[in-house]
Amino acid sequence: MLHVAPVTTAAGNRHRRQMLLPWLDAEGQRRIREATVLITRVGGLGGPLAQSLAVAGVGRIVLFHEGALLDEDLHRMVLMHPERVGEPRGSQAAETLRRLGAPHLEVCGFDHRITEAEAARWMRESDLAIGAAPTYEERLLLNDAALAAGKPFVDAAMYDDETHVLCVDPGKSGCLRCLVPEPPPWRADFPVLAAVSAMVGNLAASLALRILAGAGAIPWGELVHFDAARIELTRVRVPRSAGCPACAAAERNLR
Amino acid sequence: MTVRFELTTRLAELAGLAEPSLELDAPSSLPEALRALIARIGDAAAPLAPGGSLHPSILVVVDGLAHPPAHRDVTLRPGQTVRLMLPVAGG
Repeated sequence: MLHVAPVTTAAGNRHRRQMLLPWLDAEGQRRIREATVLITRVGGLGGPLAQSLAVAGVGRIVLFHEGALLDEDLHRMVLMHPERVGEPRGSQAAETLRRLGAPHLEVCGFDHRITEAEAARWMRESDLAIGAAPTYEERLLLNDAALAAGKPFVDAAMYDDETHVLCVDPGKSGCLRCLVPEPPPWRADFPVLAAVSAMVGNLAASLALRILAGAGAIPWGELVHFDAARIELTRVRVPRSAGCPACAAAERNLR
Repeated sequence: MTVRFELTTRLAELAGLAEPSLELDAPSSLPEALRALIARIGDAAAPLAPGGSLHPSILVVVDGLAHPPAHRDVTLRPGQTVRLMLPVAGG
């Protein structure tokens, strides 16, 4: 009979089962617990992502999500409260995470869109940034702030059945700005099924936890594109662009 | 040379293509092959290729490697597929 020694943490046995994973030992769990993660937007994609980080034992989550809750948000925004339509979204998402997370979890929730100054300020205290916003302007802002601070960045997005995740190793791999030097001009009321947005959110969460724990096998600088309708996975290597200002800032940090 | 192009779903929609892949008789130079594709798409390509060049946000991928606008001066080999992707935005 296989005997598995019990593994405990300061939070009790809550994370014992995930610590049976070969890549997550007590040291990795400690790193997750001590980590601060900055997330912009906690909607259909970022909500499940933040939830997975909270229950996995991340120490502090800083989130930004502007706007008031709409009835049409409720089919995908799992952190929101149906009885609080019309109220700001960031603070109610933060409340849900506090309820779900380990006792040590600290959540800072903001009800507005992150500014450049706030991104720079919070990146100084964060170990990782995750972009889950629906606009490239906001995701590029976070990409640039993370790289300027020399911190890793995970970008996750979806449209209809198409999803993508990009993990950026500052100053070493290509980044979101190398990939998309300027935002696409096509805007639309994006079609979204919660099952698809949650799927890509959780893929990003899985990679984020591995980054925080110091586990290997991170697809740094690769756009991981999954089409949920075609059931087709494509991995694209993103070269560093010689003229990328975000990568240049990250490189200065490495010197 | 016959060049096979594959477009992601959203991009094929924007280009007005019923099928996400097509084969064209095109030059082996990547920039010229892209121009042949733009000509094939016709009027629907106008917003995707303002001034006749692909919008910089459209990702061009050959053999799993992204070729941003400054790195497209390459020659295609027979059998290679050019994949065009529109980075997605939403959540």
